Amino acid sequence: MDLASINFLQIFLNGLITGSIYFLAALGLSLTYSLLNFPNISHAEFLAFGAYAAYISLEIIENNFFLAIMVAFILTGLLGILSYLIVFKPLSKRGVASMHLTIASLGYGLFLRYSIYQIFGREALTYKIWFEAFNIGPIRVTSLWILIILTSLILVFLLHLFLKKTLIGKAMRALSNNQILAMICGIDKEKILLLVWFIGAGLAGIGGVFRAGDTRITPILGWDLMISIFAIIILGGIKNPYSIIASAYIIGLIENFSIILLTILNLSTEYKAIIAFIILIVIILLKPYGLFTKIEK
Amino acid sequence: MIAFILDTLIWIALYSILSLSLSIEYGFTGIMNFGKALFFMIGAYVSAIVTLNGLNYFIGLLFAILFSALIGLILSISMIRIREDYFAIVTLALNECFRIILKNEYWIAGGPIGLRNIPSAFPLKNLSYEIFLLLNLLLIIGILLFFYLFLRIIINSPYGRILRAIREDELLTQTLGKNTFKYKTQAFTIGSAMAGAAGSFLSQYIGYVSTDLFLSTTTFTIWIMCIIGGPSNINGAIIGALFMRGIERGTRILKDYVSIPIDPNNFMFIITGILMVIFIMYKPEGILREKRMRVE
Amino acid sequence: MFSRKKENIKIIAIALIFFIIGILIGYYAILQQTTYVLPKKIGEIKIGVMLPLSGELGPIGSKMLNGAILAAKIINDTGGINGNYIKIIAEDTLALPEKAIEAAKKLIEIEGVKVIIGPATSTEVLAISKYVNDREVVLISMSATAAKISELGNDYVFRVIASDAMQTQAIASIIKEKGYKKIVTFVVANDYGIGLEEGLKKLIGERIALSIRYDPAKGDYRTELIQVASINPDAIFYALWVESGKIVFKQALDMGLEKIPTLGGEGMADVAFFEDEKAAEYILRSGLMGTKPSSPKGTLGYNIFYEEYKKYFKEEPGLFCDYTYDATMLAILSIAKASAYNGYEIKKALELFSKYYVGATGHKAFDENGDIILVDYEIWKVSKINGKYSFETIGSWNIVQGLTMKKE
Repeated sequence: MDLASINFLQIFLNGLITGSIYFLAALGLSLTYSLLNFPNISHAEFLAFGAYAAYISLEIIENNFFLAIMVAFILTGLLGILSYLIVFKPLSKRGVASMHLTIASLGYGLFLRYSIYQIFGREALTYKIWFEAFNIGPIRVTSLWILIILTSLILVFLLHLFLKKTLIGKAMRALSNNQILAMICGIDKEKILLLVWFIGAGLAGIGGVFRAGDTRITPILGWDLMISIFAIIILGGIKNPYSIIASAYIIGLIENFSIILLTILNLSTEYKAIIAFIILIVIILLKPYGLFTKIEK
Repeated sequence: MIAFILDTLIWIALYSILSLSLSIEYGFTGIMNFGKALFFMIGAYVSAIVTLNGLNYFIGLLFAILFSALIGLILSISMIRIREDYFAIVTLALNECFRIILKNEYWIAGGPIGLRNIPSAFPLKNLSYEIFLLLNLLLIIGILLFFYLFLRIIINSPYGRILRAIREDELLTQTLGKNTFKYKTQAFTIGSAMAGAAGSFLSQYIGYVSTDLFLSTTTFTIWIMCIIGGPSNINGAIIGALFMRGIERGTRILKDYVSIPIDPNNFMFIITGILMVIFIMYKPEGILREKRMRVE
Repeated sequence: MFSRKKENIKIIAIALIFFIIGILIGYYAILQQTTYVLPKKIGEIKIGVMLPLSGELGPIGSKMLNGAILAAKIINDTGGINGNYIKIIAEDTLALPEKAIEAAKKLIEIEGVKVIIGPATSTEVLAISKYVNDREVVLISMSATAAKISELGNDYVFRVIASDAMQTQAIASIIKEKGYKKIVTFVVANDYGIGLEEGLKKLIGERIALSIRYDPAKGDYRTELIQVASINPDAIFYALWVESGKIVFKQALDMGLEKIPTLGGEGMADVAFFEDEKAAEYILRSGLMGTKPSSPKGTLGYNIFYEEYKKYFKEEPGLFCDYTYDATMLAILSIAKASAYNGYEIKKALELFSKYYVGATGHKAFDENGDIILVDYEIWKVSKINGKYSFETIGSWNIVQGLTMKKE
């Protein structure tokens, strides 16, 4: 593979797509991680759930992909709330260590995944929508990719408005920053938590739909991405949603450009997951609190 | 009939070793290791490679234990200082990474095809099947007994007391002058060695290894056994193993016997997933609680 | 202290009871084997069958089982073998090698079978080959095509389907005929795909510029496809499984690779690929063509099988039903001929009988490695007729005459 024939622009585009999906998946996880102080391993299943929810929507009302995305967002958001109310809230109320919450999330995640296996079977499904592929100059795009990038940009913008301008958004940031202080100021932690779970899971659901549209719908949709998602969260630091967005795109681009390196070294392209992992390890060892956060006492 | 009983006992003994290996790490030292399948896998592969090269099984077993212990040691020395939740994530990710490497590098161990026709510890050709199984059972019980007694001694000693102290409050233990990192590393290494031994047995009993046998669902299975049986009780490991084997066989039997419209492969994880949450919520000490130490 | 001891004893007692009940149920369940009830008489001859009856290949496998049942039924309905009736004992392997090992042990050690029909995949066959040879049990696979199985030599493993070693010769002849100088092989990373790739490497290795082996569990093959695109080969040879294959093709179309001609083996001539619109379009636009063992349809042997199958099962036979039927019938005939129900005698009888057997899928004469000798392949190509995608035959290949293409 000679360097001249590599379409860097195409790889850059792939990186943006990967990054968009990653940010949708990672944001929710980082929010719940910071508020409840444990990594929710079942978060991966929200992606799969969203993908399947969209599938059902498309089966009922064909050809309306926008509707399917909405349905995925809402249904997965509700699943998020349900998960919180049934599993994680009772556990945290009992005062169990974050260790136990993590273990529980492992079990809960498997329960979700195998329930999906049971309902939908092991065969991979696809959305019966034709996303036209065409050339724009030297790069090849499909309508799905354009949709992904546009949606992500819009969501980032909405998120920004939400966090900076609305009262709830500001309350969320405050809570994420310093829980005790925020609660002293009268912020209702419970309400914010419900909202966080809803939005976090909902966004992951959308991420799942996009990933499924790009590849295929399968119960391990989310699990495939977990290493990269954790790398993003640790890279970005848990407290700051903006840094998560940045990390998601950084890691997305790194992973895609790394295939050039991997091809030169004659290694399998599956190793890009290992690249994400190496980044994760390096960050943990060097800067355990993330690249973007200042160390707090 | 006898073959069935022997085979079941073998699996229960094997699971007990795995459950114990997590027990020493999590139950007694409070380390959250989500990568147990990794060491299980390393032990299996190392043992397979050694025996496929013509060496005696017990050399394979030894190498498996040493190699797993070594990797465990390297891992814990470098990582043990990081936050426990990050450690959990790292072990989880490491499991996946090793799987990816083994799957893609054909020269190490056959890539996705894995290794086949691994010689068993006892030659099947000249034995009756029941005797073959009996010998395997003796082997695995021997390994189990060794580790069981080893752990029993450790746990009921001042060393064990320090491990428990680390589990309860690491900071406090440090202020009391103990190098908690050293102890955690040692516990982790022991746990890894045990999982490696289990892996070695598995590879010769089944005769086949591939990365698909060591997914994160395997790690989860070990966790649920440990939690349900009782992580801080070495007998709990055996109860957990009994339980797990019961569920595995039970869900399959349910399919043949009572026509429930749930695929047994899925049913098992659906049930254990729910049980995991329930146990963590109501009975995180498991069925057998921690015993008082018997310091003579 | 006392109460704790009592509590522990109580718990251990409960666990033990649970365990014993579990064992009893398990034992009972083993007795209730997935057997297919054919008239049970005193003299019973067991034949084991190993197939994926559930899981991904479950639907195909359960239909394949019908082929075996049909053969047994035909013989049983006409008095069996000297009054002894054939009992088919089926075990589900989910097409997983570790399950295959378990199933083989159950059949051989607990049921005491001396002949096994199956397993369906090459990986499974290779996983249990040493075991069945050690135990001297005859194995006849109906669908395992990897060339590696021949390397086992003269042993207890036989196949009624042609080895891919033949198929790669046919494929290589197409490549030479078309004058493709630079090709890429894109195969699924298992015995089937890798077997075909290595077969091609031996024959036309110098023409292969890049070989990609992909993981069917991964859902995204864009990076692999980028590598292919950057090489810009004359043709791409594919050996894929349907599920992951559909994604590869979908993404290949997205990436504009349809201008490069494509080739495949018989696994690619599967209508299931057409289920995904983009995959179907890619296949059509790239002019996918390939080889597959000639369809037995239209031959007398096949028609006999077909009529019986429809009469008994009231539906069309599925994929590989015919091969399974032939394997089972051969097994039954060999058992009848053998002087005793043991693996060695049955093997001898099988080697003899195969020369004279013409079944639903043609001649089954085995060579010394247990592979069938006489095989011919048809060359197929994808086309679209009246809006429907289908396969048309455009030529043939056999070991004597080589490649013959129909005039365009």
